[in-house]
Amino acid sequence: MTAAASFLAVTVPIEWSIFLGLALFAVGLIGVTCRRNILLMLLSVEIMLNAVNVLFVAFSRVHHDLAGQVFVFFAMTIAAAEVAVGLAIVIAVYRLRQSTDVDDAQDLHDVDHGPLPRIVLEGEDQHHHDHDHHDDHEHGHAGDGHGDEAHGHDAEGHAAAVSGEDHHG
Amino acid sequence: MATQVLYILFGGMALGAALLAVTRKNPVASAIWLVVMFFGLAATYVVMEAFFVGAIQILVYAGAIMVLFLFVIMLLDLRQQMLEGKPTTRLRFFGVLAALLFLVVGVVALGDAKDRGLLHRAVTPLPREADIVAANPDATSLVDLPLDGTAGAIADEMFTRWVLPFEVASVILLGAILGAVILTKRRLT
Amino acid sequence: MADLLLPLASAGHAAEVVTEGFKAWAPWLVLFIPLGVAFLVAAMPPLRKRGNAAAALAIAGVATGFILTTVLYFLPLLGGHGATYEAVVDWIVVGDVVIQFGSRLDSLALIMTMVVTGIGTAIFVYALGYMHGDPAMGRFYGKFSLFVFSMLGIVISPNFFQTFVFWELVGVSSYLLIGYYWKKHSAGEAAKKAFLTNRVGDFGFLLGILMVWTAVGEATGTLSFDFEVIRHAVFEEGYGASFFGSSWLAGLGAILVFCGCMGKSAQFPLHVWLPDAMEGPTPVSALMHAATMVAAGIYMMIRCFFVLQGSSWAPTVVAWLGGITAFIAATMAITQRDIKKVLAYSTLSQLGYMTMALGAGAYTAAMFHLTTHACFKALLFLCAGSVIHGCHHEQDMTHMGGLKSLMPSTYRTWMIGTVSLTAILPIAGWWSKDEILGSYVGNASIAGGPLLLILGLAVAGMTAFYMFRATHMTFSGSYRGHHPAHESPKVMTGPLWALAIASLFVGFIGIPDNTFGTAHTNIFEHLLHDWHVGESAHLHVWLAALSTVIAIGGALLARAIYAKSEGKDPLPAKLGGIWTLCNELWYVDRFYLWLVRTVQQGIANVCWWFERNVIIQGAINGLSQGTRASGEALRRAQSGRLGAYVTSFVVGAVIVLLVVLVQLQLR
Repeated sequence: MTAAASFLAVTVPIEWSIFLGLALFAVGLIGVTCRRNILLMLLSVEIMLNAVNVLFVAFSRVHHDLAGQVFVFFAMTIAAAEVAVGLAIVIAVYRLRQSTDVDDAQDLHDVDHGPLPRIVLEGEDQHHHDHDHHDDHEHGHAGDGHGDEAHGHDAEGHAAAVSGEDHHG
Repeated sequence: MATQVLYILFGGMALGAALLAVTRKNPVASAIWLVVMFFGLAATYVVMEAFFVGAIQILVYAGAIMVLFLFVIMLLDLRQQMLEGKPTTRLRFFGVLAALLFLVVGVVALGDAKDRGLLHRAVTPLPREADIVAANPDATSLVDLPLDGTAGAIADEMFTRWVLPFEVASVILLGAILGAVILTKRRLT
Repeated sequence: MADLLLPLASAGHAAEVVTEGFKAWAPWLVLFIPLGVAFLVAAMPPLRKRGNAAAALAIAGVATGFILTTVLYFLPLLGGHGATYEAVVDWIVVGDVVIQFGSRLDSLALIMTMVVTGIGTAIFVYALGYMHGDPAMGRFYGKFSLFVFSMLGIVISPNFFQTFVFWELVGVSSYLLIGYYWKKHSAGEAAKKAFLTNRVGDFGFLLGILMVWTAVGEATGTLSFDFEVIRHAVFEEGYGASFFGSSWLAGLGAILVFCGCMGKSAQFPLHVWLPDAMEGPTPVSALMHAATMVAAGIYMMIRCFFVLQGSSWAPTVVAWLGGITAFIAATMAITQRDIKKVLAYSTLSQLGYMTMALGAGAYTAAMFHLTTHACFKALLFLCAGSVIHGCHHEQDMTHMGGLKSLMPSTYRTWMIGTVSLTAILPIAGWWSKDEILGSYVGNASIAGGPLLLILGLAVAGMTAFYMFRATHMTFSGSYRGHHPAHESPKVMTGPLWALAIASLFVGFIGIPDNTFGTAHTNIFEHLLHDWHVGESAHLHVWLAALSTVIAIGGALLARAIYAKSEGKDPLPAKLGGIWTLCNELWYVDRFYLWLVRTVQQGIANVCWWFERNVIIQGAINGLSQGTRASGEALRRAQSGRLGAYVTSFVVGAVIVLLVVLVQLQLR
């Protein structure tokens, strides 16, 4: 208990600290959602982590417990680890794509196979829906000019349930 | 009073630096502004008497993490990447809206917590703190009590109560190091 | 049964032990021998393929039943008092409800068992000749035994539950027997018709049983199907009045129970199956129409007459339904050309009489008529079978004629049966029919009683007319068939004579007490003892004379028209529209056909449309289309762009926070 410490204590309202944490977190959110550069997104995540650290310190005062400050230490440890791995991934991705723009990595997006084929019910009047059914097949072939994978198979089983997905790896 | 002025100064600096960091086009500029933010935050920690936290904030963040960032940015030579495509306006709008909404919710919750007296817990004369309570007869809530944030006090806490998490954290760091090495060394095809 | 286990103390005691053992085991044997026969025939292909062996087994089984029952009946009479043999086991026990299975052979059940097994024996023997050469004779006798077993199960049943189980068994075995010539399309259709029509009645019967069951539970505090408990509830616990506080409901319960009788005994709205049941072999028709299936309904109503007694208005409904059945069936019988169909409609008509007796409360008279009718109707059917057999499976009376000299035995026994049915001379049918008509004299309990009496007399006249019409068309004039007719073998004429003798004399056991001024000439009432309720039968000389005159009149009229007609029927031309109405069976069958084809089909079409367009198109296809459409919409969210994912995650998280905050504020 140093004299300097007691001199500084209690004069800063604790709400200020909490507000600072909240504001920093909001800023970090803006960064994560609005930036497309993966490095800057990581950077924004660091801001959010720091915001949480501020709250840890503030609440360690509220509860008069040093555990909060110990946790800041742990958070920093995890942050360091995260940055190390994250940046390694950035480098790997950059090697692969020559880009750090997240929008260039869209491999997980939906592939358009065109409309699904119609299911003809057992006992349904064939002629009644024959036209629709035929149409669907036309779409199934023509509407697949999306690029990456051609919908090249001929759907077997005119009247049975036909599914196109299982032919796409 | 002096502490409040200092706090507003450093806190405002951190907040402003953070805003600039996320809005700069140049990644290097962003990283530099982030360093400013780290320093600002370290100062606010000191004002809050969390001396040890303030010290490692500078050592770990400004010293180690930011260096890593800058190192990677320069390694990748991101000058060409500066002209990144802008995200769709709709996406940006929703992002900002969500962040502002979060801030509003947080502030309202903060006010609520204050109204309920959650920020000013009554002084509880625990044996551990008996002498501190005795030394501060004016204190009306726990916040008013001085909290020793020096390295020695933190070490006492960390190597008694939190020794196991401490060791686990070292394992995590080791894992991260190995992961980073493997990720960067292996040729990804 | 426990007596059997006692050590034999002395020789005299031993005789008693044997007697007691017999009393304990005989009821079970009577019931289960026919089942055993049916089972053996079904389970042993060699037996099934050797028709004569199966027949011998079946005849032995049913004859044993008859002998056992007779001994059981007269054993206690030697000692001077009647007895009830009970052999029951607890069958289903659910909490306080105990349902028993077994036999309760009281006087009513014993008489009925004697009728079933006695006439059954005659018919079984007869079938030996009639079915001669049929490759599936083993199957025939197996089904026959099953049928007798089912019927006996109803007769000896101590409770409604067992009755219903065997009720359904009778339905099944009748289905099997009517559809015996399963290669014939019409036989299969007739079997289905009989089964389905009976199902309609059985459904009502089941509801009625359950209603009575709950009502008895209300009245006595114990839920029971047992007839004795129900009887007790009706006569001593004020069941009729306390039927959930409504005498109307008591009547409804009684009518619903009567629905069962309506189906099995072919009463008016559900009578349509019985004439079609002629598709079965003639012995089947004889058994079904004389002693078993159609008798089951009447018997069951007598057995639970107290249910009918518990209501004020139900007997009137029953009586009128019986009267209507008797009348319309008689009119239909007049127009038939098929000899078996004439008898079928006459059965309907006579069942109508019995139902009238039920309605009037003359249960003894109903039972008496059931007994005499069983004798002479079995006789008539067997005669018809003999005629059909002799004419090489020709059933159309216009192709018969002149059989009087060609088939003398058949002719004589037929005449006995006809006279008995027509109730002209004081033999069988005369006594029983007059008892029924007599029960309407001075009976104020039935609304429109006098009208029913007149209806009954009219039916008596028509009965004489159609029976003698059939007689003259079949036996008078010259033979018009294509194949030479011949008399049936002894194995067939033997049972004919046995039944003819029974028909001649069975009526004398029911001479009303006042006939000769001395008491107790009505042996039948005495035989029934504890089951005889209400007033004793009373001979009304004027009524007897009137009915006899009407019957003779009808017979003479038929003779005048048909004796020399040589198969030509002049009535259609004379009666015109009325003839058509009767020949078309009062359009009841057509109405049912319309009901099924138009109304039911219409409802089915609506259901089909609903299923097609609402359930399949709307619900099922709608669901799948909706799933597909939402998938189509949602897959666009999978843009693969990290920014979009992060933003949506953040927006969602903030919304959750917002909700939590609002909840906190509201608390």
